[in-house]
Amino acid sequence: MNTDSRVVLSLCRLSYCYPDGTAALKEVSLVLREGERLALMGPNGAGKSTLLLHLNALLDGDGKLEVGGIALSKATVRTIRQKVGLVFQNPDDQLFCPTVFEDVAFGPRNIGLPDIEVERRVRGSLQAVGLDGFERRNPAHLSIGEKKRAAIATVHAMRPLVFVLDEPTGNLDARGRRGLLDLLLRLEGAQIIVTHDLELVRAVCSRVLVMGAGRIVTEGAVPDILADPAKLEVWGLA
Amino acid sequence: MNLDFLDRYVGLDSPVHHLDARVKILVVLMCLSLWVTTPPGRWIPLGFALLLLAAAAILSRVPLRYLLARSLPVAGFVALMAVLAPFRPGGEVLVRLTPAVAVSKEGTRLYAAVISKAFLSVAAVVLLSSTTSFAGILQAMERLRVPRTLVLIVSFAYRYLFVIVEEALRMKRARDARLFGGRWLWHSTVIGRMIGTLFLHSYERAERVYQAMIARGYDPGIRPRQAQPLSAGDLAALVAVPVVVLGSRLLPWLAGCR
Repeated sequence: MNTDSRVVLSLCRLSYCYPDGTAALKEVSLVLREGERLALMGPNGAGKSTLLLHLNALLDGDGKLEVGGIALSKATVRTIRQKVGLVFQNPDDQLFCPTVFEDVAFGPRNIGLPDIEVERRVRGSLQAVGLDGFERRNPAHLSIGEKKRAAIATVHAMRPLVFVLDEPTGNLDARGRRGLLDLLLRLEGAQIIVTHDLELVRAVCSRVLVMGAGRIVTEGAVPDILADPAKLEVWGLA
Repeated sequence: MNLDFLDRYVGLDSPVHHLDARVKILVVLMCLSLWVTTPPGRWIPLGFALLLLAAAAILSRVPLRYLLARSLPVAGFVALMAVLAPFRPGGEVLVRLTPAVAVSKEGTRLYAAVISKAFLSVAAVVLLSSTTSFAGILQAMERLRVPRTLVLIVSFAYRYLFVIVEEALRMKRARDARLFGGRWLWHSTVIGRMIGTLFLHSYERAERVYQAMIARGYDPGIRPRQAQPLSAGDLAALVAVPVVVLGSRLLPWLAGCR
């Protein structure tokens, strides 16, 4: 890990219980540095998605979150949400507008940008994910790969410091998956990627954080973590 | 499942398509209120409305067959709903069926007025939706200061119709794949459960969509879109069409004044 680069996101001892009392996260801490791509792995129910919702302050457990040097508080919550771009697992939850343009423009408009800048950002973000010319299409009629890209464009247009992606390659065919890996490598900004896709982790990420039962089980560089098949099985990754 | 037929003709290039969506919505609303409030038996304004609609339809280059195919079924439905109107008691009797039941002249006139008004109104809305994209209508609603929550609800209804219909189809297939059969009582139980599941899934989806909105800075209070000025042609249509329609209503009165 390059300790010289700037910390863009830090989470300190986050704990969270669901309303029914089940403990979902227990003292989870993590640090993300500029330009770093961190894989968040673990079996189903380990608390990965719950953790992601906290990074965007959509859930509020006990703990400290800092993004780009700004600590989360009531006054900064909108800034934090702009700096952390959350891409949901199911693009049908993220693309809720009648056209791709409206969807990508939704965030920039909420920040209050003028129409000209909104249009510029929409065009730029669609270009960045390889969907130029899709502005007037209906998101419902896109292929699953196109939907995933459009979902990334919707947060790209917010110019986040950190992209947080929940299973970006889920349900994609081989070619769609390759295209998405290329896209992840091209995106500017640090990334936290929740995934079960070992190939993605090897191709894209530098560091892995393994979760189990609401805790961080282990953490390390990709080659070290993925080297031992027996351990992978213990952690529920293989 | 493809609902693209909703937008089939919005890509055409015509003066009607080029009108600002705000103008089209306002004009249609004004025309509808004038037509609906026309007293039964006054046929000139309604005949005039038909001419006006036909002219707009021809100008828009949307096929008339398509417009009729989408407006007539609604008129037929209204005809069915109002089928008792001709039997209104009182007034001149046209046909006496039994001593107590008769078709009255006044009732028949009312019936004809209801059906023709329903047809005109639906045809106007169909023309509006065939010459304006759905996104354009939503944008215009927002610019006309319709509460944003309302605009979003309409937008979601359009967006998730596809998703819900597809999900229902998948459930039906999964059900049929397991040799669904038996008596209707069993059928209704299973279908009831399917509807419940569909509702629950939609409800959960709504929560996730709301999270996705919040994550991108959604705040129901803000109105981010800036207004765009209307062109001279838009303004002319906005004034001219309602004036003409109002004129057709006032025609007998104007004639009487002379």
